[in-house]
Parts: sequence; C-alpha cells; structure tokens
Amino acid sequence: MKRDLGIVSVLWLVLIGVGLVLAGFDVLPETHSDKGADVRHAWETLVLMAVPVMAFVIAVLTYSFLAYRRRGEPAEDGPPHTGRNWVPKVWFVLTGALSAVVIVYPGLVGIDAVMKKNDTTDIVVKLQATKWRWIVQYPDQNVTTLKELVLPVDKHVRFEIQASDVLHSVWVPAFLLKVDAVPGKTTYLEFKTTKTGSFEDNEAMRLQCAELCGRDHATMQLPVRVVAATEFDQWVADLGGEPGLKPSVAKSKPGGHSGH
Amino acid sequence: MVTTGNEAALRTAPPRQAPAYGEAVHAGHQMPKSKRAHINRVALWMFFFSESFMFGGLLAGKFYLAGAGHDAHLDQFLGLLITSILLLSSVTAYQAETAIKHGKTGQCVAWLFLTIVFGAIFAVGVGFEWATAHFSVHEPFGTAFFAMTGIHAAHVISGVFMLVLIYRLVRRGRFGPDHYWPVEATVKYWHFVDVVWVFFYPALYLTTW
Amino acid sequence: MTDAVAHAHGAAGGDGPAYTGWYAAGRMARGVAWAAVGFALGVALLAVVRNITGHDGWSKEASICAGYLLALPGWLFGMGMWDGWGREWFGHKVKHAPSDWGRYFSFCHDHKVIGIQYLATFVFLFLFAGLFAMVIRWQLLSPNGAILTNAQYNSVMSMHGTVMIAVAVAGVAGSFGNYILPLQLGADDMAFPRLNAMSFWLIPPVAVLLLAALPMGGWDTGWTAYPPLSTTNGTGQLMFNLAIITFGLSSILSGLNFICTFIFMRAEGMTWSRIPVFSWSLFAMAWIALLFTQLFAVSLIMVTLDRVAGTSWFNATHGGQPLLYQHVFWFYSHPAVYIFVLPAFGIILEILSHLSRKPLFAYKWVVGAFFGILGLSGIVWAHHMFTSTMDARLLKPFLITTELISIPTGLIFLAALGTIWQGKLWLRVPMLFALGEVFNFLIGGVTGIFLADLPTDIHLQDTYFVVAHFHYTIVGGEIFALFAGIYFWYPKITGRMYNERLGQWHFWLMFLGFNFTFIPMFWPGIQGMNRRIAEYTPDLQNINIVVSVMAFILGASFLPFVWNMLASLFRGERAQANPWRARTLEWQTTSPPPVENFPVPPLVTGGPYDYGVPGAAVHAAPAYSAAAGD
Repeated sequence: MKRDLGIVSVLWLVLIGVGLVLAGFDVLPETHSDKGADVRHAWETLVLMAVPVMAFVIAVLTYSFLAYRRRGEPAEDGPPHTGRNWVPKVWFVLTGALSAVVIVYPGLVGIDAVMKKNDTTDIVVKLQATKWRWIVQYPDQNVTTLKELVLPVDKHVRFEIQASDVLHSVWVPAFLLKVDAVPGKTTYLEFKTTKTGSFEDNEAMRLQCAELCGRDHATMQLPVRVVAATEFDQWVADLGGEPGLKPSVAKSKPGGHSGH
Repeated sequence: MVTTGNEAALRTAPPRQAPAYGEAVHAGHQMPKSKRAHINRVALWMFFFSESFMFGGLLAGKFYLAGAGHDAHLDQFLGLLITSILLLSSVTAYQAETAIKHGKTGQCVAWLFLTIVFGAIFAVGVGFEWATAHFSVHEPFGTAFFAMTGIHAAHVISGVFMLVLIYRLVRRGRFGPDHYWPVEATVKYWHFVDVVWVFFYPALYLTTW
Repeated sequence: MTDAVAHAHGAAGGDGPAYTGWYAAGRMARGVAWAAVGFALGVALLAVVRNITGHDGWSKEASICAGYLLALPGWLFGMGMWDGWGREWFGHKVKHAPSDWGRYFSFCHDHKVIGIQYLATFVFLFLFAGLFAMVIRWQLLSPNGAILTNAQYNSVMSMHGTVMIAVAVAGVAGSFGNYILPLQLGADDMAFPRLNAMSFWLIPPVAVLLLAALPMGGWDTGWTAYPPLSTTNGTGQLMFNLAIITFGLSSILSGLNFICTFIFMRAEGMTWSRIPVFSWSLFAMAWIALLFTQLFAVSLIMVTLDRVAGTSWFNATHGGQPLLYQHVFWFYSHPAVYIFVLPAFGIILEILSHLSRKPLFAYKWVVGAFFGILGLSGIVWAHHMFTSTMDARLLKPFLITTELISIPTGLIFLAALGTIWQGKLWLRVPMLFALGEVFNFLIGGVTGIFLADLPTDIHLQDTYFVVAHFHYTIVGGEIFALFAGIYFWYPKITGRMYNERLGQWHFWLMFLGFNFTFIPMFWPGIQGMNRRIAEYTPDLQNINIVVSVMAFILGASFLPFVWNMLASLFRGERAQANPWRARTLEWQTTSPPPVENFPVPPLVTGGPYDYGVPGAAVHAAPAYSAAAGD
C-alpha cells in the first residue's frame, strides 16, 4: 500500500514536470489585440491548472495498468477496500474547490475583461457579412472595400457587424476574438490593436467566417493588416477616402459583443 | 475463496414452465393485472411530463419571439367561448370515466358522446379563428399563434379520434368496472390536452405588455 | 443445456409461421407498400385542403410533410405493428413474429432481439458514417480540398455528423440498454415490449430519409441545422428534419420504457442499493431522453414550419429571432451528450469492477453523480452560445453551471481509479477498452474546461479544437465504451467467445490511431483552422496530413473488429454462462439467455460488486442451475 502510493506520487511529480515543460510551448497564434492578451492569460492559467489534474489521473492509471496486471485469469479477488468513505468526501471537496477557482479566475474575471467596453473609440469599422464575402466599410474615412481589412495599430477599434442572409461569425485568429453576425441585429466587437502584422507573414491575420454559412463558408475570408497610423492614412488616401482618425464618442451602445 | 455468485442456488421456488416463444415475448401478460395497470398509469403520466416539455418549449418560444403581448384583433369572445367549451368537455370526460368504473355503460356512452361533440366544437372554433384572423403567419405574434394553436389542435383532433374509437368499443360493451384502462387513458389524455390549453389561452389571448 | 436453449429459440415457435424468412420479407414489403399508400393519401389530403382554403394547389415540401405524416404509421403497421399490436385494439387475436432468425427482421417484442437489432443497425451505421469521415480526411489532405467541391464537402460533413450523433444517441443505450437492462434487473422483458419494438422500427425510416436527402443535394448545415441557413437551403434539409423528429420520437419512447422497466421490473430482492451501475446510468439517461428530446423536436418543427408554412420563427426580415433556435436546440443537444456518456460510464465502471475483481469504489457517490449530471445538464445549454451575441447577462450564470458539471464527472473518475487501485487486473479486451476510455475521457473532459470558460472559448469556439474535444468525449468516451460492451457481452449475446488476439489488435490500433488522430487535431484549431471547412490556409497542411494519415489507421482498425465479430459468430469457442465470473444477474443465466431470460425468477440477496468482501451474500442465485439441474 505505502509502496504503491510512493511510486504513484513520484510518477505524478514526474508527469507534472513533463506537463510543465510541454505547457511552456506557446501554441496560441501570435496575438495582435489587447483582449487577445486576456484570452492568452486565461489559456495559460487553465493549462497550469490542468497539468497536475491530468498528471494525477494518468499516473494512477498507468501505474495500475502496469503493476496490477495479471497473466490470465486472476485466481483471487482484490482487496475490497470497504470503509473508505472519507476518500470520496475529500475528492468532492477538492474538485469543488478547483472548479470554484476556475469559475472565478479565469472565468468570471475573464468575462469582465473580454466583454469590456472601450472607453474611447478611435475607429469604427462596419462589417457586412453576406454569402460568402465581407464588405468592409470605414464610415468616418468614407472608404468601402471588399479586398482587405486594414487597421491602425494601438488604436481602439469597434466592429459593427451585420449579416444580410444567414448566420456568420467574425473571427480574426490573431486577435483571439470572435463574435457571431446575426441577421436582424447589429453586433459589436471592441478591442485595441497592439501589434502590426499582415496575412502575408501570419495566416492567423485573416478575417474568417467561423459559423457555417453554406457552400463557400470555408473561403469566406479576408486578409487583415494592422499597420502604423501613417500607413493607414496613406491606404485610406489611396482608396480616395478621407484620412485621419475621428475619435467618435461611443454612443450608448453595449460593449464587447452583445445584442440590439 | 473466490466469490463469483455462482456457488449456491438459494432459490427454492419451483422452475417456471418455459413458455413458447410467442407467449414469452408478451412479458407484460405474465404479471398481475393490478401491477400492469399501475405501470401503465405511471407511464402515461411520464408521457404527459415529456409532452409538457414540448408545450413548455413552444410557450417559451412565444414569449421570446413575440413578447408578452397579444394581437388587438383577436376575437376575445370566440376565445373565451371555445375555452369554456373545452373546460366543460373535461367535466363530461370525467363523468364518462366514473360511469364506466361503476359499470354504467349507457351513461358512459352518453358522456363520451358529449365530450366528442365539445371537442369537435373546439376544433371547429379554432379553425374559425384561423380563417378570420386579422394577422398573418408572417409576423411574430402570428407565428406563435398559428404554431401553438395548430400543434394544440392536432392534439385535440387526435384526442377526438381516440374518443371516437373508445366510444365504439364502449358501445360494444368491451369495458366494465374491472377493465376500463383504455377509457381511463383516453380521458386522462383529454384532461392533459385541456390543461395545456389552460396555459396557452392566457399566453395567447390575455397577456399584455 | 445449449441444445435446450436452441430448442426454446427455434422449434418452440408457438403460432409463429413456418417459412420465417419469407414471412419477414413479406411483412417488410407490406410495410413499404402501406407507407407508399399512406404517402399518397397524405399528399392527396393536403392538396384537397389547400384547394378548399384557397392556396395554390401544390407545394413540394408541404406535400412531403403531409405524405410522411401518414407514411410513417403505414410503415409501422404494415411491417408488423398491426399483426402484433393493432389487431388487439379491434378485438382480434395478435399474431406473433417468427421464432427463428426471421425474428431479427420482424416486429419482435423480445428485448434481446430488439437489442441485437439496435446493435447491428448502429454498428453498421457507425462504419457507414466512418467511411464519410475517411472522405473528409482525404479532402483535407490538401489545403484546396483534394477531391470534393465545397458543396459536396458540406453534404459529406453533415451526413457524417448527423449519422454519428444518431449512433451516439442510440448505439449504446438502444443496444445494451435493451439487451442488458432487463437481464441485470432480473426481469423477463422490458415494461412495454411492444412499444420497444415500435421504438426500433422507427429507426429504418430515419436512415431512409437521410439517404434520400443525398440525391436531393443533401443538407449543408451539419447536424446542428442552424437557421436561417436551414430555413433557406434545399429540400435535403426537410428530409433531415423529418428524420430527426422521427428519431426523437423513438428516443422518447425508449426513455419511457427504460424508466418504467427500471422502476417496476426489478426482481425480488433487487433493492435500490443492489442495482448494477449500468442500470443506474440507463435510468438517469432515460430521463434526459424522455424530457429534453421534446425540445429538439420543437426546434426542428419550428424550422419545418418556417420552410413549409411561412412562419417567421427565424426569418429576421419578418421579425424572427435566429437565436431562439439555438436556445431551444441546445436545451436538448447539450443534455444529449449525457445521453451518450452516462451509459458509457455505466459500462466501463461495470467492466472495471468485474475484471479487477474489486467492488465498485464509491458506488453510492457514482449514482449520486449520475443524478447530479442529470440535474445540471438542463441548465448549461447556453455555453454553446458564448459567441452567439445572446443577452450578456446570461454569460456568467451559464459559465458557473457548466464548470460545476466537472464535480460529478470527477466523482466518476474517482470511482474508476478507486476500483482498479490494487485490484487484480484481468486485461482482456473489454478491460483494455474500459481503461482506454478513462484516459480518453480525461482529455475530453479537461479540454472541455477550455470551452466552458468564456475567455478561452471566445477564441476556440467553432474551431478544430472543438472538433477534437467532442471526438474525445464522444468517440473516446462513448464509442470506446460501446466496443468495451460489445466484447464484454459478446459471449452472453452470441453464446460464443470472440477471438482475443484479434480483439487486442483492434484495441491497440484503435486506441493509438484515435489518440494520434485527435491529439494533433487540437493544434490547427488553436492556430486558426475553423471547423466545417472544405479548404484551409496552406500553413496548416502538414499537421492536417498527419491527422489524415492517422485517421486512416483509425479507420483500418475496424477491419479486425468486423472480421472478429463475424468469424467468431460461427467459429468462436462456445462460451460458458459466466466467462468473466461476474456477479451481476445477466451472467447468472445461460449464454445466450433463453426466451424468458431466467427459467426461475431470480432472487437477489446481495450487492452486485462484493468481490473479496468477507461473508458477502451472493448477488443472486444462478437461475440455470435450478432449471437444468447442474
């Protein structure tokens, strides 16, 4: 009994070590938005919490598989282990505590972070989703394009999203954010760009429809570029628009992504 | 010593005669009649429980889609009339069940007949409501109204159909105080359909902003 | 003794017809014919009604609905419900199904026959939908799509998803639920044998409708059928709706039957604390099937009404609310995953206890956990809608309830680990599958936390991370248990032993193939590959090739399985009544059991898992020894 517990404990610690090494690899795409950073923190926290839990189950499972196996039919019964009612109680409390932690952080705290409304809005982009393309409008710059989504870096952005036919979903993997486009209502996504980049360097820099919308759902995508403010002005000017950001005071609209 | 559960035959009861295949597959027939009736009754209630989830879903859908309002053009008098008739039909159905329990086949037939008539009037009333409605199926309230009354009416019509079937069998004297489960089941179903309307009627006719 | 069983099955057919093959074929043909008549009648009735009410004379989809409404009872009554049930309503004597092999193709009331019907049907459907998975993986070998057009891909993907969900719903519960539940409880059949047969014979129309959708262009909405896409696409969608509503009806009736069987059909002495855990899991599962399935039907009825009657549940231009569908749909479809895994947990806990020769650890806690899951399952649905732009006030409550589900699930892990701890592990194929299931479900559960947690879900929703996650829970969690159950109960059901070596090959190929397919699949999801796409960005090609190749190995792992099952049926070693020396009641009768299950009504005198407990009473006396005198 003691020997079994000892070996499993050692195995558990070893597996935790392995898990922590694996957790060190960065698997998320390079992040270009402030809320993406919040998502990243949530991800990392959850991974760290998952490692000991998974390591424990795998340790017990592996050890039992190797140590308790019998060649052929077991000749006798195992120990019945009656009268250990404290074990499920302790387990219940532990798992309860663990899920309470997950609920509070990154859960509830994270919701507040990623649903937060921008204090100011530097640039408004209207995204019109229709089978199977995106229409990108910059109302303040008076620019409309079907070719790419360009955003200035370090600015507070608000997407105003509408769908004209079926459900679509706005997802820029490099922003780590997503919100559906629903016919009949306008939905919003607010965040701040934090880093320049383009689709050519990083395929996660694309606006991808993430909600099944029919035949060409897979290719309903646009390249995304986050550029310096001057470069953005230049791009606007090239398209015949009116360069310059016009920080509009956010009207009384719900932040993050929400309805009506 | 390994315990497998196979060592001792503790049972002392004599072996049961192995039935022929056809009989064995009628397991229900081997149990006491009272137990069979009890199981049937519980199962019927569980079926209602299940159905109430469907009607509850429709009700929730109505409030989600069309809010807590009703269309001003609804014929309130007609609504109240058919609701009263449906409620009345529950009373007559109950009388029919009581009558057959006491072996009064003639009374049962009469009450069943009344129930069928009331049920049919209700169905016709709903049809009239549909035909004269001032709102269309293309708007939120109309969507909820036609869908809910339609699905409820389908239950009413199936109930009337079963009542007619039972009516014929009662007239032939197939049921008595010791065997009236089909009557009871049909009447209970009828009560259930009635209760559903008790929820649908206020939701569709009475609630306001 | 085996001869006696064969005798009971074969010759003592009572009033069964003589040429049973022809009889069954004739009944099937009659079912099809009556269905055709019903269909024509429904179409004609609708045309008359439409003419009277002043509509255009003809509407394709409405006609299909009306026709199907009458075709379905036509099929059921024609194929045997009239002979075996309906005649009784009109005072005639019922006719029974044939008693030899023809009964597997007939409206037979025997729960063992129905269990086998379910098992064969759903293993076949599993392999069928598995082929579609192979096509999907072939397509994704190339970022531009290797073989299919986008439209074809959507149909293939939707077919794979839908059929696999059907397999997940009824594959375990329908087959082992029907076969094993009455045996474990010591009953001679289900509470409602005829209703049970009806539940099964509702399944063939489902398969026919889904197949019929393919020549109509299929449906491109996946198994979730989100409107407005599903209210505006081709007629294949209508076939899907009708099929799934029918399937739901079958599910509800089965659920009702399981609950009544569990409560009322238990043998003498089978007190609540002596009921085997698999039966408990079915009981908890059955409530979900009974209650929540109705909402699935409601959601698809709404879609159908939008299509054929012009209502505007989801048509935004007329004030409809597309999000309403998601609420109603997930209100069923999240609990549905517990329809999948609860019986799966039951099977693996059962096997872990019997084959480690130890009592099931924390038995009462496990039963409590089943009901905890059952209770929580109804209040977590909106975690599928974190990015759907539903009311923001709903986010936090649903995050909390969702995370709470990990507590009862954790108890099931405790029971699994506590049971094998210091046991005497008999590593036969079912045991391997059970241990593999625990490992797989661990990964499925832990990755679920990332999806239950809104901040990470907002990135991962609708990506291959989700695809990998639910394959871990459904395939890893349930299908592994399905195979564990197949190997575990194969000797009981067929009276023959499966081939151990082939079974081991199957397990290791499947276990490794599965894990090496789906572990890598998390990666493209995190990196930005969304799900349900026929083409993807070229950067992710290498990982997709790895996934595809591993998936082909996973697919190949079923070849030894199929061969094993078929060959062992004829050439397998004759199985003893109780090859695993297990205590539960299904092993205390012959393999296969006689028609009436137990020649002597069993008397239950002890707990089902008291292995090694000093002085424990036997769970129940073996019924065959009293009957056959050995």
